[in-house]
Amino acid sequence: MKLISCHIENFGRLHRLDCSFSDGLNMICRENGWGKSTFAAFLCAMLYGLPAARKKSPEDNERHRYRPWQGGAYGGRLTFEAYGKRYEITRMFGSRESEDEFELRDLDTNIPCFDYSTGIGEELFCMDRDSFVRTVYTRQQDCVTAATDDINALIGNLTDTAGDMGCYEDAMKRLHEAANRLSPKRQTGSIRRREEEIKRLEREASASEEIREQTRKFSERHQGALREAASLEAELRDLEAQMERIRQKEENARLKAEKESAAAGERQIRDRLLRTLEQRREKAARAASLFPGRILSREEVEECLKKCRQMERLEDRMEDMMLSEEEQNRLTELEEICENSGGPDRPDGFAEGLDRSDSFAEGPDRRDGFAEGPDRADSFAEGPEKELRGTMAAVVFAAVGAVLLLSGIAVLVFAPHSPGEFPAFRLAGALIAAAGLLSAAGAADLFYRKSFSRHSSKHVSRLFSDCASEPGRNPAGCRTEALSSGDNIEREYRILLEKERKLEELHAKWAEARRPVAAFLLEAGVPQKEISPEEDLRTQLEFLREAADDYEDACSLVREAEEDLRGFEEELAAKTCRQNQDQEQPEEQDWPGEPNWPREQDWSGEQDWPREQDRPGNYVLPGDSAEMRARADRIHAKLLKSREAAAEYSHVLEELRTEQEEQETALQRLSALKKKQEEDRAKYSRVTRAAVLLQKAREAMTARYADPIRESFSGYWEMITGLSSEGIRVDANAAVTVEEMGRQRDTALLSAGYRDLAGLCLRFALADAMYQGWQRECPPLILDDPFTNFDDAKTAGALQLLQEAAGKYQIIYFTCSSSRC
Amino acid sequence: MKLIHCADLHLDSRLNTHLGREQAKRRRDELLRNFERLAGYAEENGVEAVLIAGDLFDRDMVSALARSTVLSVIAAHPQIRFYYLRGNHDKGDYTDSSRPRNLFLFGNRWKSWQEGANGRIMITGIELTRENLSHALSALRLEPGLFNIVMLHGQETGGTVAAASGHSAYAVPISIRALQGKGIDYLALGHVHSYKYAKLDSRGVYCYPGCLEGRGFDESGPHGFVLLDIDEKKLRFSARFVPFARRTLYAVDVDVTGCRSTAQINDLIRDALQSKACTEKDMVDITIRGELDVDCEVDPDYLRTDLEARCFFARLHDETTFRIDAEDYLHDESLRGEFVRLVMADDSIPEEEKTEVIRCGFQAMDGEKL
Repeated sequence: MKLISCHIENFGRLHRLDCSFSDGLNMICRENGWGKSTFAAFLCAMLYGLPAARKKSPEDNERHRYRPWQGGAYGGRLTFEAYGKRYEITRMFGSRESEDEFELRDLDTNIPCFDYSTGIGEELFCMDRDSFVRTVYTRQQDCVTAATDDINALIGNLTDTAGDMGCYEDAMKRLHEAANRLSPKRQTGSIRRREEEIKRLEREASASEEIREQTRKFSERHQGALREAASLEAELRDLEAQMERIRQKEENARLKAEKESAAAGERQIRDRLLRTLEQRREKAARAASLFPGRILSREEVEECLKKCRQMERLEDRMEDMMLSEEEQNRLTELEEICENSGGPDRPDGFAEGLDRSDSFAEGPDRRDGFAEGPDRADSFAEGPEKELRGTMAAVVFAAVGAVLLLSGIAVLVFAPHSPGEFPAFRLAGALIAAAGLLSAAGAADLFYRKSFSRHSSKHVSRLFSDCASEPGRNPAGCRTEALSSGDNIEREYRILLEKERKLEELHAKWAEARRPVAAFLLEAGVPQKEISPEEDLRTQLEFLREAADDYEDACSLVREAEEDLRGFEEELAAKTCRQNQDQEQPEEQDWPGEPNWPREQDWSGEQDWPREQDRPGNYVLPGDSAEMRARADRIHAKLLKSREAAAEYSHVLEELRTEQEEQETALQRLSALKKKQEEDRAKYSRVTRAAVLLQKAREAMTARYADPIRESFSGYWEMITGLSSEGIRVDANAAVTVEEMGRQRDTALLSAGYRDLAGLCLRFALADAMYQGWQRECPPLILDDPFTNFDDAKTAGALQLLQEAAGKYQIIYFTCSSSRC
Repeated sequence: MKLIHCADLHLDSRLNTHLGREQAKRRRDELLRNFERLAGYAEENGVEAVLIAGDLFDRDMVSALARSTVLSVIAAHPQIRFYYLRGNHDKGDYTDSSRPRNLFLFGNRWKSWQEGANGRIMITGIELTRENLSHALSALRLEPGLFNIVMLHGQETGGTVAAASGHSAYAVPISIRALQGKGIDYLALGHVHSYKYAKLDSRGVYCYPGCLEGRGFDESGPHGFVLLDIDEKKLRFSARFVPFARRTLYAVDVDVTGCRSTAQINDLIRDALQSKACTEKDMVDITIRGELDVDCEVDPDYLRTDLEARCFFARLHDETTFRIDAEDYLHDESLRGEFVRLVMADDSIPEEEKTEVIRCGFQAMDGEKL
């Protein structure tokens, strides 16, 4: 590759600078501050661009460092020839890499082409910027160099596998980083850190044994406490069972005593009730004995008394209606007057007295009748004729009445009638029958009147005769007096007869009323003589009533006593039944609504089971119940303590369990860590071995081309120094050492001049190794005043070197001193 | 009559062997809720009794949460009878006054309970110990005219050997032969954590339902309980296994021989899990095996992260080996070739590690994460 020309628009202090280059040596000698280093940097920037502006200091940050002070476009153009073709690169730089502009043109056609990209330097020279700077671009005071992967790759012509050599350093870096990450020595190494954690976990794990031991211990204690508690519970159960038996026994005795006492009490009560009953029965018997005959009920006596009261009321009425002595005498007198009237008919005539007296009450009419004196007298005089007419009238009335009555009945029976029709025939029949009855009544009245009038007419005649016989008496007046007297007598007689008749009626009624009372008393056993009419039946009845009352009261008391006794016996029987039930075992009841609930079955195989030994404690404890209670209390207290201890141990075990879990977690983690540690150790071993062997491989490879570099280096060294390069070594890594005092010394220990000398010679040697004899574009060598530290002799030698190297390379040499031109 | 036969729930187990603290806590709670789910299933399906053949809890000292949860679940389903026979892990005492009425316990002597509408089903059980083992089985007497269910917890011996659950050393041995001819229709066993159903004798069968939910990757595969349906009149029954685990554990080996990249390996892992019908709520333990080229790209961390995003819990074991043909690098002039030759020639490196060293160097040169 050959540079043709360049145009610097703005780059550092350089502004619109044009420069042409020729083959061979291009020497640019300018004063300090002209911009020589800037120019060199520009050439490098055109080929490789500017690095990203990451570094802040201007010295390190080329992008900022070469930004034109005067502003304006930052960049320029470079024309070159490569592989027989001419190109022009135009690069403009911005604040950031992303703002950079790049253009490649075919110089012959001036058409943009894409043969190369922004990485044109790498593409042309097969090396990166760093390798470029280490070899063909020597900056001021920067002669020391070393091989890079690209250099080595170029040197070894490993362009086909440039990835291997090219990324050797990256690979070694990764291996070293991996080794560092894993390192057992570094603080940050995972193996070391894990080792520390493993030790920590092992220390913790060592406590797990203690925890297990504690767990075992506390578990034993817990089990012991539980066993002790179980034993104490068993002992307490036995003791309580014993006490319960004793208590039961005492209770049974007490119950028995109570029962006996209760039985005695019950017997007493029973006896008392029986006595009471007996007494009441006796009383009832005595009450019954008061009855003269059968035992009467209060109701029947009351009923009889009611009748007796009716009877007494009749007696009172009878007494009221009793004829006085005077009336009796008068009646006798009147009876005598009417003696001829016939005794047997009298009652009948008197029975009709009221009717008759009604006719007598018809006074005025009657008087009118008297006023019709002659008629009346005629009637008197017509006594026997009147009597005959009256008898015939009565017969007619009776016959007519009978006919009418029979007719009426016939019509009633045989009259046709339809349901729903008005019973006209029947009504007519009824009326006819009623008429017949009235006619019959009239006949009877006439007959009575005839009788009476027949009987009373004799007395009236006598009176008339007596009156008329008296001198000076008017016969009419006598007649009137006689008739009036007759009427009065008749009236009075009728009244008295009526009264007597009523009295007899009352008497009959009284007798009728008395009869059942007397019959009752007789039936009740009262002696006959005490039931005679003269006796007061009421007293008898009242006596009987009192007796009945007494008897019923007595019977009520007897029933009450019987009820009490029966109730007591029933209660006693129920109590006995309950007591019997309490002594029986209750049957197990089905769960309501759960007929299918499983039932535990008596196991049939028990006969093959080993017998369980008697548990300790199944023996009768001596001592009374108070002592047993005290013992039970002591056992109970111990039991509580055991339970508390068991609970406490359980709590401790729970905590130990948690600790144990954490321990186990830690152990698991420890196991995992150990496993990981082993893996990492193995990995570390692999990585470190890989790093060592990879380095050896590289050295072995570079050793193959180290000789050409040595030879080339020696030639340049001798050219510059005029001395043999014996003692100067170039190793496989293209590092230069100098033998001093029997040892290989790094050139860093040499003077600046020798360092630069070695570096320069190495650069040329590397450039020869990379490009001479290979079919690849050789870059121009850019030297920015590299001989500043040389002495004059070496400077001369260096210049001679340049002249010779110019035959092989295009060299762009910058210097500020003419002594180095 | 329907019954559920389950065992080895191991509630209150720590579960922190593989899981972190939070995940382990979550899983413990899930196992507790499983018991509640079981009771819910029983209620919904008309199950009248649940037989728990041992190891309901994982240890003697049970946390208050586990204890109260179990007791409250039982009390909340009073129409279901729970028959609980303790195993070798749970020897705690549950006979205090807080025991629900529908919880029936067994002891160290035979105990029988009569079940069924007609009382023709007999459930008999005993908690075997070293002390009673010598005479317990011989003392068993059953009524032949009934449907006899016998519950035991222990390791079967004498029959076809079951897959050991890994803790058979702690179990009481149960001689299958000693239980033949006893009139047992269904021998409900517990202790073995995998399902097994086999013939006992001419009359009956014996069954391990397995644990209700896997806890470790040695218990991968489906887990659940056995649902029994007994015809009380004919004294016949049917039994079927009901998968019930909330999460299934899968331990899967994936052969990744020939894979050249992490993506290819990931695809194989996905295919393997898909073939197992693994879901996002399951737990997986993947082991990648096989030979890979020494320069192939494989990132186990990426695989692990991807797995963890697709499962409740994932673990990846990288047991791949790298192969390298040293002959290929014999004349390789590159740095790589030089490196390989140097490694192969280094006698201080064990043969089995040489490939690893080479791979390490290659990874470094290829810019891969070490």
